Amino acid sequence: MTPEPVLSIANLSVDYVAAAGTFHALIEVSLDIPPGRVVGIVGETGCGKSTLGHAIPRILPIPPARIVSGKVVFRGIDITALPAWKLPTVRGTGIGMIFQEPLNSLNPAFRIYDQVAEAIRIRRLREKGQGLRKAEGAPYDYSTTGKSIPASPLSRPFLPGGTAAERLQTRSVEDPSLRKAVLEALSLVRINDPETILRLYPHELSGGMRQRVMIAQALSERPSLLIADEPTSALDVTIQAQVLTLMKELIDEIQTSILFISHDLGVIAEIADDIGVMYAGRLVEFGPVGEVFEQPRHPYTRSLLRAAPDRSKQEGPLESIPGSVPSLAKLPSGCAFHPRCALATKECAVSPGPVLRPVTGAGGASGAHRSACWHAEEVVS
Amino acid sequence: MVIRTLRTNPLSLAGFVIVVILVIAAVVIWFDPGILPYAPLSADYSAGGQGPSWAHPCGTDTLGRDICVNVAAALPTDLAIGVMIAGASLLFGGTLGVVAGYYNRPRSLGEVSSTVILRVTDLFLAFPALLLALAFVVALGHGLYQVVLAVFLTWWPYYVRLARGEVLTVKNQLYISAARAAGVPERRIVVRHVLRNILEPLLVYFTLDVGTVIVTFSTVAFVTGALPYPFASTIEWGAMISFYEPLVTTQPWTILFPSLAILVTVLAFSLLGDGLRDILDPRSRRVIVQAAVVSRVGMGGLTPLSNPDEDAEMSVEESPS
Repeated sequence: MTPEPVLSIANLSVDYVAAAGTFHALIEVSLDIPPGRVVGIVGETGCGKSTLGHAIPRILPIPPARIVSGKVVFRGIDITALPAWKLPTVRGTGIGMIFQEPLNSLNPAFRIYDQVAEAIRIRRLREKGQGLRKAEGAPYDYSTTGKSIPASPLSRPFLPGGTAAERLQTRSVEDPSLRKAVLEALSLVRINDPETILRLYPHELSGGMRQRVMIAQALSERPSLLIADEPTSALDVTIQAQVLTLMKELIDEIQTSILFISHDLGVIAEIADDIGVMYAGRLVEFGPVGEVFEQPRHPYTRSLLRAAPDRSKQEGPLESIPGSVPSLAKLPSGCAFHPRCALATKECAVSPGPVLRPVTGAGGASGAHRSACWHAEEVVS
Repeated sequence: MVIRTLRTNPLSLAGFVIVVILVIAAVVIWFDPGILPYAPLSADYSAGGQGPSWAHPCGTDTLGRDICVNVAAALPTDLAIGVMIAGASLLFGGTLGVVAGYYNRPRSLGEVSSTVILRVTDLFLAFPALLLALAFVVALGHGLYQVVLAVFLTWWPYYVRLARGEVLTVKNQLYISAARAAGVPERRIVVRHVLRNILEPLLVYFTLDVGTVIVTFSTVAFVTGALPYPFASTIEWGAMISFYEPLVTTQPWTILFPSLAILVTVLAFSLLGDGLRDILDPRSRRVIVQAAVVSRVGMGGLTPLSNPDEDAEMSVEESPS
């Protein structure tokens, strides 16, 4: 019996309605994220992976976005059905988020202290809030001692929680425990000299430092699910490596579930337990990262893997996928990949997009490895 | 901090100093009118129609009223009117602008309120400000409060437009999405995250606007005679100029000094407003402070003057980690 997933997405479809037409950014995406697992999502630019990340905590701009169908269930709460005023209770302490561009994700008008302190204040208010629920995720500790603290409770959707006096107290700038918590959060992301950083404004930090602050901010709310939307893409390669190493270390320390979105197969291979491959708004393959990389069961995944440079083999030019990514406004009939697929048959062009199904045969015995291809068993790596 | 930032910009510093002096003078005169050497409006028939002298630095009018004393007596009124009308417009128009800008999701209650606010604003903006103010005075009648109300009624729509525009820019920034994703409630996003980022342009505009309000108010008083000097209980620069206008060829000092008072006040607020932009924006603040350091060192002849922008960039280096 598998543990109950932290997040369960069922048949989620999202459209962007624009003057030029309706763009199907997500089409019937179903995905479960079990507690403590790191799920990676890869795909090309415009395949809907960021839309997926933003749709989960419902921070998509509506309009132009529109959630057409589907459910996003986070620890028993259907987020898609929540009224807008209750959403803040799920965000932050429930589902944390790290954004692609650290340059623009911090408010330029506030010092680093205020940015991190706000996140900690939000968590404290939620913890004091009525109707506490035990967090199901594993507990983790911020102190450098490594001693474990009790699981962080997640408040029920009631805002802002606590009495007026308590709110006032947690808001106080002089609160030494708040200052200590901010320093700890910054130390957690390996910021040297957090005392100095506290007083700086975001524009005074480099991209890598800003991304660390973003991570510190997200983690200080102790989310049960962290969505990392290409956290390393906007950084240069050396800083990318630093941030990635940091995230890998943190994953071991905090043991929270993570949805890691990236277009970089190498990054995903390094960090994720499970991998989902997206193409033209659909999840086309899902499985444990080793299996998917060794034995891809969808032609697109296979082509994607072949198109990635491999340092062990240095012969010949890299393979490319013929054709180009279809416009989300005019998707091909049947399987969206069939015009570019070597295995495509008549069936692929006619029948509607196949559903993600367990793959039989080698590697797929556990049922964890699933593919949305009619010819999954014929795909050879 | 403020002084240090302003010191790099002598004109803004001058504006700041003049504004401070004017405000202190206005407060003193307001609470202790006895500090003035003569009572305002008191005639001294033995000293009628004199040009500037030691006894009467700005001269006297035909009836021997001291022009300096009357200009000074009008200072608290004009200053308070400028600040209050601009301030009330900032609060009222600014609030409406934030509401109209932030809560405008299509097919929601927000869109309705936003549309109503903007269309009413358009209605006011359709007329030239001065003409509208004059029309309001005609409708409301003469008197200090009537004129204040008339100018305020023509003034607030500009702040709606300004605040709404700024909110529209800020609310689509990624850091607002980030705050939302961090679980910050909408109300707090508006009050804290959005407001802090639109505060700077609004305050700068407000400061620049105080002078404009004083000019408009004086113009309305000048044209309509709504505050007839020297018969109304309130002395006001525009009304003085209006009253002395026939004397412009024979006793020009009677009209020169009230005009100068308006000029200096408006100029001071404009200069201060320019400098305020640099103080309020944390991004430019650092550059300026560094420029100050560089120019001070540079004056010693030791360090060549360097581009402050370059310096600012260099200081942004990441600490090794």
